[in-house]
Amino acid sequence: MRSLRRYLARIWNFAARRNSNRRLREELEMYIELEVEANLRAGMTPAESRRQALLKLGPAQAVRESYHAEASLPLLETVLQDCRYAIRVLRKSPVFTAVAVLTLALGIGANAAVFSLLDSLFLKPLPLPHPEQLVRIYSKGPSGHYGAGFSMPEFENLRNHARSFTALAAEDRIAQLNLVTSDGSSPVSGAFVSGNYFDLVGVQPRLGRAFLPEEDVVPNRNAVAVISDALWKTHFHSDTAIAGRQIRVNGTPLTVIGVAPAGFHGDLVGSPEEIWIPAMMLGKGGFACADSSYNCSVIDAVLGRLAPGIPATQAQAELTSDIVWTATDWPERPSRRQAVLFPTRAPWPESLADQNAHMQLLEAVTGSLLLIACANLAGLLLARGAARKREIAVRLAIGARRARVIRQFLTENLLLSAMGGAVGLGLSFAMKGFLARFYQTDSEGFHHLYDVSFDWRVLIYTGAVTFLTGIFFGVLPAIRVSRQDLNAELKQSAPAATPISGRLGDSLVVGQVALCVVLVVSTGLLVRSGMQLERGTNFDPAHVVVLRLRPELLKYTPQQVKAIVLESTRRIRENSQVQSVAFMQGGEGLVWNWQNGREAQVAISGAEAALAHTGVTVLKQDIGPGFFRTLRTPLLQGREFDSGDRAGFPRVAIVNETLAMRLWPQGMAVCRTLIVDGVPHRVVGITANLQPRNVLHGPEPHLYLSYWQSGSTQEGDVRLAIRVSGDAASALTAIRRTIRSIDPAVPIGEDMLMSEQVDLEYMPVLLARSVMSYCGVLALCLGAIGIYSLLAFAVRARTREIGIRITVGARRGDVIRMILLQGVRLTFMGVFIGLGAAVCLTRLEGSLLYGVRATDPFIFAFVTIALFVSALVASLLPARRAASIDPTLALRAE
Amino acid sequence: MKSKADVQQGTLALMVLKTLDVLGPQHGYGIARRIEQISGDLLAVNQGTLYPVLLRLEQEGAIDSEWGASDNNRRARFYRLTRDGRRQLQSEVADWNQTAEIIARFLAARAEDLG
Repeated sequence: MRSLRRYLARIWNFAARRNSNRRLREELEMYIELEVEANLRAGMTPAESRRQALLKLGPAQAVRESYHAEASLPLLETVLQDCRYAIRVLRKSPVFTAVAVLTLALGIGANAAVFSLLDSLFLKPLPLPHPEQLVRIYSKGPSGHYGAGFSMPEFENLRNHARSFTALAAEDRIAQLNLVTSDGSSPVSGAFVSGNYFDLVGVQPRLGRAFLPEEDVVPNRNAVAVISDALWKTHFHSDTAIAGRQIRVNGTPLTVIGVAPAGFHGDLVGSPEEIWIPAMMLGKGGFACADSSYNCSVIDAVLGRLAPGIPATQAQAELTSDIVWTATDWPERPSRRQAVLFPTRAPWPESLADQNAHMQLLEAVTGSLLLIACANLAGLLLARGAARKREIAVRLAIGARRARVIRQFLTENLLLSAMGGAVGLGLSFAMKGFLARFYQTDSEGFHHLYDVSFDWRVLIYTGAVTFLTGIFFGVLPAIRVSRQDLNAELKQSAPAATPISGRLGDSLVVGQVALCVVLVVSTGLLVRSGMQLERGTNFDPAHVVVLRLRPELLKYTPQQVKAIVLESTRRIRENSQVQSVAFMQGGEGLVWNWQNGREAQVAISGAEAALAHTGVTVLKQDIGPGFFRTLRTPLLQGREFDSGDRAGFPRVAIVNETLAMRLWPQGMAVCRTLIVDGVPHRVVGITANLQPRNVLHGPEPHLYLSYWQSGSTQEGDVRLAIRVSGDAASALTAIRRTIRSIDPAVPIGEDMLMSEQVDLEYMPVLLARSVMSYCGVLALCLGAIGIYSLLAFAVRARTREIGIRITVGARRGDVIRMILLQGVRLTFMGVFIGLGAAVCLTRLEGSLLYGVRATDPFIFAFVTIALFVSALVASLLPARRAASIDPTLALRAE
Repeated sequence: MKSKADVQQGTLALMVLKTLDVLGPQHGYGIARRIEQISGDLLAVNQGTLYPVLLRLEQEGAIDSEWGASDNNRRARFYRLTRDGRRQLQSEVADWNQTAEIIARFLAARAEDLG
């Protein structure tokens, strides 16, 4: 307590710059006077009295110093003094300071931006009361898929018996709901939730009311909905009398009862919800079983609020104890399901690993960039330190301790990094905006919403990175520079050619070059991969518009679906801009198609008996005529479907290259008979593999059937691809209008250019490519600067030696060759190490590499050449300076 | 002439507090002289250590200072004990007495007493 008070007083004195000198001087003056008087009284002469008094006082300066040390904070004062000195030094060499600060700012800025993104995606808590208590429970099926779902009785059993939660709510997110208002129809995202949902998340409607408990008891009785503030503003013109208004969602009439407060977008980060409907309406409004029965209504997930003080592990233990599955078992679903609990903040568990890997890649890349920047700066500082040898020697000679000199240099370096960090933080705002753009929309056309605002986590992270960076690049040079032979340095005849950097500087450059090689190779691979995707692997996305018709959301009959598809394609073809129209059933996307329950078993005819052995499970897509022509996918053999391949005609099939090779390795697949799920089809064509595949996954066998022959799938959900000439955007508008004129209510989604959709689907590749390109280019520049500064310094340090060489007959060419060779030697070592590391490391980005191998020899060769060229350019300047040394001047200067 | 001992580290603050407690407000010179007198001129108080100690005690709140007039009407800074200082003095005196007693007991110890 007492010492606290004392420190407060000292800090106050320090901050207020209160000067205690006057007070001390007066005290001392008085003391001397009184002492002199006493001595006079004791009988001394006046001169002797004064002498004795002063003797007794002791060294006045020492008294003053110890008094001052007590009054204020001497450590802080010297730190400030160091800072002031450092600022003077940095201002004296503005070019060096600017380069260093810029280097650091670009490096730290990139790291801060990636962290901001990571913060928005994964760390920022939901803006809800006690977000840490919110958890989501998924049902994990036997195949490891987290979408196995819960039946209503299972959920109710859990809700009625689990004790780890204060509340549980069923939650079935349906990405596409189709909202029909008097203004037309539009796709919205929303969720079917239990009646207690709004209580559970802790949100009160800004208008109207939330669900009543009795509104979620009887299946399909209470057709009500709460809408989001955003939907209210965009679709209902902020109508304050909205409560009670009728809307139609997926063909079901609903009454709006309330509007959620602004800023509430549901409980899933990134995917804003716009409408909430009681879970008991699932049968009518959602994708429940055909008979809309209560028992098989399946919900995706359960949202829970943990009871206060209950850790998630305990809740998970309770879930594992079979509390969920003791309810009446659900005959159609595999019973070996597990209930797994995740924090609400976490993304969909199946994409978690991907997202983590992606973020780790970005962090590794920006981290490497910062490392290169550190090595670069360390090299620069070593060179600078050598230039300041005399200054340091003088300081040491007049009594500075080594620790003091190190501290002075460290202060300078930390000041540099602090400046870099501050500028970098500013830069990171712009970079973060750029990165966040990649996350705005997904390939299904849904808008995502992430809170990318600045918060304290970013500040702390940036501060920590800045400090560590300063330590990282600053400590070694500071120590190295302070270690020197005083005598030798102060005597003018010191051999100037003992570079302070020496081997340390060399290895810094080699390390930089090696890291640089890894980064640039990775960049090259990603750039190629991105180009492949944008150009399309066996398809041409340019001048193609896509859209998705979802009549099944309106519960249309197969006849209605058929009519819409036929009429739409016919009318779209009439548009003069349209060259060809293709369509396919469902799927994940036009050209990417993952396992989605539409797989088929195929076997070769003649081997039916051995079906079990030759049967292959393949991805199956039902497509319309002209599909491959529209996408410009090469047909390797035969023909594609035409209007003749209708119901009632012989069943036909098209296989991709991989499937053809698998089934008929000797070739000649066309006209063979293929048994698809027990039904014989005639193979009419072979196409190139359409789906882009990355390094980690080989091409998969695909089977295409004629849409008009496989009637079982005609429930809707059709993707259209339309090749147009001229302005694609205006064509898209016209096509939308055409479809609206046929059926104003049919939901249209994913309407965009195909190139846009490809970009959105492969966003991780393009995002990584952008970050990589930034880091790769910078790394290349930094590597060149590193080589340049090392050689420039070496030339300066060897001026006399080179002067002597020239005097004794070395030609300019020899000198140039000597310096260039030094640069090339270091580059060679760096490139050698870097290429070795790249071979091992580029596999890590394999999931992002499409159409290019992780060890693509072209890229490796290209990078090697690029590095040697830039190293040569960087070495040329110092080499020429060395050659232009005037021997007489060089020798006289010593 | 017998050389005077310097004040032992750490005890000067206690002496200052005690002097102010016994004699009331004093200026710096006065405090130094009184300490020397009380010690029977066995101690020499170095001004170089006295003033920082005074400042420290003041910053800790144990003493207070203000300008006043000295005996022969000279302007001087007078130090006086605060209530906190008195409390601090009491506890330090108690500590010191205890330490002294323990040391005395040790120094008086003989083998037969412990046998």
